Amino acid sequence: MKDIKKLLKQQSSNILPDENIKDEIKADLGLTSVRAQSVAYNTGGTATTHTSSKRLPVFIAILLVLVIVTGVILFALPSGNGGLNIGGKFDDIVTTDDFYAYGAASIGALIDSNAPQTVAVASDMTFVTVADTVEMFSMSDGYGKSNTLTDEQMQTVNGYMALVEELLGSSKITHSGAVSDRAEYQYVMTINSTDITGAKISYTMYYNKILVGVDTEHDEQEETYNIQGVLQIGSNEYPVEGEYVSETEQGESETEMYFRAYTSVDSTGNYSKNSYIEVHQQNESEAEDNETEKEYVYTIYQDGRQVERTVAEYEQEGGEIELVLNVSKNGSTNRLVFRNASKGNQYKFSVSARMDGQSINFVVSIVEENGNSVYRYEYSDGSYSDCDRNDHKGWQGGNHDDDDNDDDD
Amino acid sequence: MNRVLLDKKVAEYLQGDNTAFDYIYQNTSKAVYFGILYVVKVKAVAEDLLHDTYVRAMRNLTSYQSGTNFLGWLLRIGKNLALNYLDKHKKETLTDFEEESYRYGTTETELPYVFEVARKVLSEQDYQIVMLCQVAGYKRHEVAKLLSMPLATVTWKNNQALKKLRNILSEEGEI
Repeated sequence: MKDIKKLLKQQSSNILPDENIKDEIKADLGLTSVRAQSVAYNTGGTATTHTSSKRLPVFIAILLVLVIVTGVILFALPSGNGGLNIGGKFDDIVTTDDFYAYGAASIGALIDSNAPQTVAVASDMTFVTVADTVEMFSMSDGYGKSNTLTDEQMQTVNGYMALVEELLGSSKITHSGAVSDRAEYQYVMTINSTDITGAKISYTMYYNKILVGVDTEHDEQEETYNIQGVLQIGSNEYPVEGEYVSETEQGESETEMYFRAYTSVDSTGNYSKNSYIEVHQQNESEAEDNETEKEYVYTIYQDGRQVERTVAEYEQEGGEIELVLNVSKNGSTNRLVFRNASKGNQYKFSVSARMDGQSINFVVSIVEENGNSVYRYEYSDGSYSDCDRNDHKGWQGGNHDDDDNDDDD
Repeated sequence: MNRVLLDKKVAEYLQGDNTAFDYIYQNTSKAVYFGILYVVKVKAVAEDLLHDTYVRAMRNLTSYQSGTNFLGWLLRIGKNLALNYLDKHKKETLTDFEEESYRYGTTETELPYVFEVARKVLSEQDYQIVMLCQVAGYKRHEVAKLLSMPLATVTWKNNQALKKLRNILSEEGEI
């Protein structure tokens, strides 16, 4: 792909429009004073139309002071997202093993979250209004407004909450590798993470790693690795496989990876190849502009049919890191934007959603209810609904008490 | 490109802040230009129509309804002007020299072969994505916002279009 990209880039000056068109438009629109100012600055002169030349250095000085002060303040203040960079946790994924560890942790979280759940609606109960506790944010999108989620919408959101906790939490996903103690596998990897409350989550993956091939052509080299193994989530084992392809050439690189866990047992007692959760990442970086775009696409297949596809990416809005999930399901796409709004031991996420053509803002809090940890969906009208925060089978203790007498104990 | 911010700039322009035009043009003109070029094929004509699009749009800005996708509105104006142009000039059939300028090197209309091929073999949307990502220098996430598409879709379409272009040029011995 590098050759065609280079060709297009090399020839770009032959097709891009003349830079002077903008000035011509401005002249025709009577924006000549703006034009004169712009030209003056561009040529190193002084502008006399809107800004006096004497005031300009003062303005620049004030601007510089503001930039420096803002920088100092931003540096000194603790981040609401535990110091997440713009790329969020995705920035920590550098090596192939990092990706497989991330794949195992995130798919583990999705498998945890997608166990059957119960919803307890308490819309007629009085409750402290959300506006009192968390500042809501919203998307100005021109969509109709809704006050509450339907049960189905809540189940959709709830299916991703464990992943959201993992991706907006402050701790890193770490992994350590060793030689496997099981004869059928070469390696064992232990993946550790924490949920938003600080409770430890741990998964173990046994796997074989196979270099499928190295393809070298001129200065381009392509390597392909596969892994196959099992992922232990609590007492369950899920067959997993993954592939890593990298292409490097003259400082530019493209990598493509997927990691898949098979989730359903067929009539023969074996895991079916037609039902799985997969995370796929395509990552392209170019040395020239130092651009790296990262997004992770989760796809859920059941009986050979794609039933859900979600694109996860981080965005920065107003200095806050947001996790954006675009969830495609049943022919429509819902957009969910999460912010970590936790304060002290009050763990909560502010959510702005566009679901089924409606905009809705709500808060998801983690609360202890009769000894169980639940997600509480709080709405702007003061109503709320509770939904199971499924016991993470990867939970290893920490703050979370898993002794709640439910089926997975 | 943030659609909300773009709408804000449009409102500022309407309120008399002429400097807002720079932001509006900077963040929309490449998409409008390539939309026009896809239709009219000739760079000089596309540049003229780009000029006309902005003059017409900014003079009729009150007819734009905030929150309804300003870029989409601009693209429609540009495309209508391009189609009107084609309609007016339909009797002026392009000569071989103009149609295949890359072969004959007529400097007025010459576009490198890769762009001629791109326009011929790619859909309008794929052409737009490739031109914005690979030629105009936008990041894919910027193009996704610009065209109101998921980043994954832009990435996929960009890659598919590049593969298609590369295969065709490779078959023809151009690369």
